[in-house]
Amino acid sequence: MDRPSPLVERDGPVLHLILNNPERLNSLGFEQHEGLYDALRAGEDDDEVRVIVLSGAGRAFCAGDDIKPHGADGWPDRLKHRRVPLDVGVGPILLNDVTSAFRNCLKPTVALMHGYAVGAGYDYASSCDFRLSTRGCRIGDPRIKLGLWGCEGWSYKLPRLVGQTWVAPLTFTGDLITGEQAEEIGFVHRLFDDDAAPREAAAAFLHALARLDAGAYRAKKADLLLGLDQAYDHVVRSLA
Amino acid sequence: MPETTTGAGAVHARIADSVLHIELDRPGRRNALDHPMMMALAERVAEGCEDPDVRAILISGRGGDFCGGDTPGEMGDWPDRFRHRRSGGPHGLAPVVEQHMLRTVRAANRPVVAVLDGETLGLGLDLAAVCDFRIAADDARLGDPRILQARHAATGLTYVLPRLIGQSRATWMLLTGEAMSAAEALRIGLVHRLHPAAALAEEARAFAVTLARLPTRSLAVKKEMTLAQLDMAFETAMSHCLAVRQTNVIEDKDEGIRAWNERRPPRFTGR
Repeated sequence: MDRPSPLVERDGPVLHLILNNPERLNSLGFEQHEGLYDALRAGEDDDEVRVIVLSGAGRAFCAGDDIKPHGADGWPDRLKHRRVPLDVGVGPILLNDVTSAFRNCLKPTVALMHGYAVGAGYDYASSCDFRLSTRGCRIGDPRIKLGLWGCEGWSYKLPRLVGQTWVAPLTFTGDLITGEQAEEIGFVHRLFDDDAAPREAAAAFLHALARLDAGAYRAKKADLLLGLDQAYDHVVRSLA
Repeated sequence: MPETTTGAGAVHARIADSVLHIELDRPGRRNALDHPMMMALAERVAEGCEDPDVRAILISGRGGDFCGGDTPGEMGDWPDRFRHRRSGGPHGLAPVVEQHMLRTVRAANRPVVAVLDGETLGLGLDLAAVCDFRIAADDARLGDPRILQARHAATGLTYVLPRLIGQSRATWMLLTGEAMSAAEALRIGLVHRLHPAAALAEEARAFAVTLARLPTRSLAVKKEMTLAQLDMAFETAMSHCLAVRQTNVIEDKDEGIRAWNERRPPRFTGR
C-alpha cells in the first residue's frame, strides 16, 4: 500500500478515521477494509476515545470497492477460516464483517459524507449511528446496474433506518440520491454546504457527542440494537 | 396473455415493452374488488412472474380511481380453489382470497408499480402497500376507512404499513380511518412520486419501462432478501446475506448430481 489508510487523527476525545486513497476517490481494497477494522477496534479499546468518526480525504467519502486488488493479497489472517468463494469472490465476506463491527460498536459512530458515498461507502455510512453529509453528496448503491448487489447487510439495515418505502427506489434502480434527498427521507441527520470542510463543520456536533455519558450511551445503544431484533416481551423483560 | 373479464368487474392484462400492465375495471364502484377480480389479479401476476417477456408489472385502475376497496355482501362467487378454507366469523368471511392476492403481489419476482389516482381506500390501500413502488396523481386520496365501518380487515396492513411509514404514522392512519391527500402521502413516504393526474399514466408507464431494463433476476434476489430480512435478527440476516451467494459456486454439487445420474457414489473434492 502506498500510504496508510485510514489516517488516524485525534481531536481530543474524537477519533477520526480518514480514508486515504484520494486518487481512487477512497475506493477500498482488502487492506483498507482491514485497516478500518484495526483502527475501529483500537478506538473501542481506548477509554479516552468517546466518538469514532469516519470520513474521506480528498474529493469523496468513499466511492465503493476497489475491485482490482481483490486477488489473494491482503486477506486478513483473522478471517482465514471464512475465506469461502462466493459468486463474486471473497470480498463481500470482509465487507460484511467490518461493517458489522461498526454497526455493533457501542461508542457513538459518525459518518461524514462528501462527494460520493457509494457502494461500500454507503455500506459503512449505513452502519454508523449518525450520518452527516454535504448537500450535494451522491449517495447510493449502484451495484445493481452491473447486475450485482452487496451482501453486507443493507437489506437488514435500510428498511429499519428509513422505512421500507424507500428501499425499492434506492436498491432496485441503483440511482444515486443527493445529501438533501437523503436528509428528506431520514437517512442523513444533518447537512452542510458543499464547500464546507466536513470535519470542521461537524466539530461542534462531534464534541457534543463526546460529552455524553459513555456508560449510558453504551447501554442505550445495546438496548436499541436488541430491541430491533427481539419480540417486545423479550426486550421488556430483559431490561427489567 | 388474454384480456380477462370476470364477474361484476374486469381485470385487463396486456404486455408491451416487457411491462405487464394490469388494469382493474369495475365501473360505478371505483374498481372495488370482489373475489373473482382478486383471483384474476393474482393469476395475472403469477403468470407474469413466469413469463420471460415480462420484466416489470404495472397495476392501475380504469375510470379515474385505483381501487376504492371491496364490496361487502357482493363479493361474487367464493373461488373453488379455496373451498376447503371458507369460514365465517364475527367479521364476515375470513380474508383468504384477499390474502392470496396480496401475498402473490408482495412475493412477485418482478418489480411491481401501483399507479394511484382518485381513491385508494381499504383493500385498495392493502394492494398498493404490497407493491414495490407507489406513484400517485397529485389529487389522489389514500386511506383505510374500515375502522369507521367497524370492520376489522385481517389483510396484513397492520404488518406492512408500520414498516413502510413508521409505527407512529401507521397507528394514526389505521385507527382514525382518516384519508390523506397525495401531498401528505408523499411527505410521509407512503408514495414515492406525484404527477398531475393527466400525466400519471404516461409517467408510470415510462418508469415501468425503465424498471424492465434492469437486471431482473438480481433485482428479484434483492427483493427476496429484503422481505425475508424484515423478520430476521441482525446476525441471522448477515449470515443470510452471505449464504444466498454461495450455492451457485459449490463444485461438489455438480459432482453430486453427476454421480446420482450415473448411479455411483460421489467423489467430493471439498470445493
